[in-house]
Amino acid sequence: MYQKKLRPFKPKATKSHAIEKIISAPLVAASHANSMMQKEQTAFMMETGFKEVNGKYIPEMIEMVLTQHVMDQKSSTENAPGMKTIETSFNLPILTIIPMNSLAVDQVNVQFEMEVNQQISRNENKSNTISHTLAPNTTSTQLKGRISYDSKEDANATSQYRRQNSSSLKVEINAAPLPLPVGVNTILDLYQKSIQPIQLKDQQ
Amino acid sequence: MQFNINIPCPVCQTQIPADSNLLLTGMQFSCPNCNAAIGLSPKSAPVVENAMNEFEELKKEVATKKNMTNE
Repeated sequence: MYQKKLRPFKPKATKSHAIEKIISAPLVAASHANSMMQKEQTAFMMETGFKEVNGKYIPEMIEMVLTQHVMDQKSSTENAPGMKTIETSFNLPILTIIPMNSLAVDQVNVQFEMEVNQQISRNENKSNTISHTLAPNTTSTQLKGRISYDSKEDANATSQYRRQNSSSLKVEINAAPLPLPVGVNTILDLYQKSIQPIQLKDQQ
Repeated sequence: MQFNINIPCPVCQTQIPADSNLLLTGMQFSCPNCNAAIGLSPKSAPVVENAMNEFEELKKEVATKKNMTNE
C-alpha cells in the first residue's frame, strides 16, 4: 500500500523563500492527502467488496430476507381471510449496504500573514586615548627653564544593529465526506437495478 | 429519522430507505409502496459488521493522517 511519511510544513522566515511557494505548499499537501485517501478507500473497496477468483473480481454478496404477507386460501374462512408470511432470500452486493462516502479534503483555508521588522542601529565603541606626556625632568636641556607637554584625545561613537524577520502561516483544512465518484455510483446503481428475486432450485 | 442507505425493493423497485446499523440489529425496513419488508439475514450479519468496522477504522486512520498534516 502506498504510504509516504508526512512532514509538517514549517515556513522559514528568510528572504529566499518565495511567497508563492509558502502559500502553495499547504495546497499541494492537501492534494497529496486527497490522493492518499482515495487510494486507501479504493483499496478498501476492492478488499471488502470483491473477492478475486481466477484473476476475476467477483462482488462479495450478502444475504437479505424479504418478508411479505400474502393471502392464504387454505386458512381463509368465509368470514376472515387467512394471511400467510412468506420469506424470500435474495443476495445483495455488500457495497450497497455499507454507507460509503468519498473521504476527501473539501476545503482548505490558507491565511498568510507576514511580518517583517527591520531595525538597524549600530553599536560601536571606540575609545582612543592618546596621551603624550613630556614629563618634567625627563628631558632636560641645557636651557634654563622647563619644557612640559601634555596631550589627550578621546573618541566615542555608539551605534546598534538589529534585524528581525518573522512570518506566520495559518492553514485550516476541513475534511468532510463527499459524494462518491461518478464511476463508483454507476457501479452501485447497476448492482441495485439488477436486484431481482430469483427462484433457486432445490438441491435435493 | 435519517437513514443512510437506499435499497431497491426486489418486488416493485421502489427505493426503501434503511439504516445499515439498524439492519445489523435485525430490524426490517418496509417498502413504502408494496409493504414488503427487507432485513439482513443473520447469516450475513458478521460479514457486514466486519466490513463496517473496517470502514470506520479507515476513516479514523484518515483523520489521524489529516491531523498530522495540519500540525
